[in-house]
Amino acid sequence: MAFDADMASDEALMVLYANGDPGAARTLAHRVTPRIHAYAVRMLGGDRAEAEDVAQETMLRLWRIAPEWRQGETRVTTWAYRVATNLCLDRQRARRRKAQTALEDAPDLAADGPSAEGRLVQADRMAALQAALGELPERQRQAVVLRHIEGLANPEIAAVMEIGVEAVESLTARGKRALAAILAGRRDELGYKDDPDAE
Amino acid sequence: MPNDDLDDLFASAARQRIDPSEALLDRVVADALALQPRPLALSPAPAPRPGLLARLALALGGGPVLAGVCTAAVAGLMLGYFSPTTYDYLTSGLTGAEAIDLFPTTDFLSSEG
Repeated sequence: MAFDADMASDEALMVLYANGDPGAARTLAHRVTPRIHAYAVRMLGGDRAEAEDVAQETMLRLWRIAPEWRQGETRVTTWAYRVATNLCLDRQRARRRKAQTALEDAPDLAADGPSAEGRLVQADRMAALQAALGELPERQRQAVVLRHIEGLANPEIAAVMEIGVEAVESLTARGKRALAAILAGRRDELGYKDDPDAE
Repeated sequence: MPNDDLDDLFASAARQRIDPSEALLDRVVADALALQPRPLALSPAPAPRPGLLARLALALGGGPVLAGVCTAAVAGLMLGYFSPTTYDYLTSGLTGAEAIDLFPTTDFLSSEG
């Protein structure tokens, strides 16, 4: 029975890749790259071109470290998020980006929204969130994106950021409070007042 | 902004798909294949080069010849180490006399007169 690379864990794929399996290379690339790319887009204020560079560089480093990969030490995604984070921070520090992202630069929405009007409202909200995230201090933004958008658990975020779980909780709580304050004046504009889904 | 609205905003962002371009995926796969270690070939291991002793043994005719030479050397050592009188019982059994006069008629050659 042929081995199904799609069913293998990322860590098993790393071993297969290091042993010369080309199928593992493709599966791992298509599995990890989209997550790192989406994360980099959010961390870099919606700059897709720069996020693509970060994603490619992160994956390049992953391929290079594969022969020395030590199973059970860390998860592939944790390692990749950590590398991508450092690359994003390096780029942000190298050239400070404008905090406000233009609407046209905001990530595109999938075409499965309820209606054209609904998609526009969603686009406004995503642009506002992206802009607000851009105003947060780096570490808070990183923790908030990993926790509330990427959906990582606090221990994994702690591993990515190389800090304790309590520090993660503190960063996400402060980040969330700061976001609430930044977006407070835009609640009506973003359609939350009359949104039937909002509580 | 209330927490509920913020959570709703986060949930929308988490559902939002930010797909990488096909070109990026192609580049990443190309990098992966270019940097991928080559698979291990299942070829037989090369035979180890014979050492100096092995080559010497081969020059003398191989293992059996060398064994014979060694046996002879050990036997020679033993004969040299132990006193030859130890083996008298072997030689006396063969000769049966202390001395053998092989040429009894040649005494006149050494006598005077």
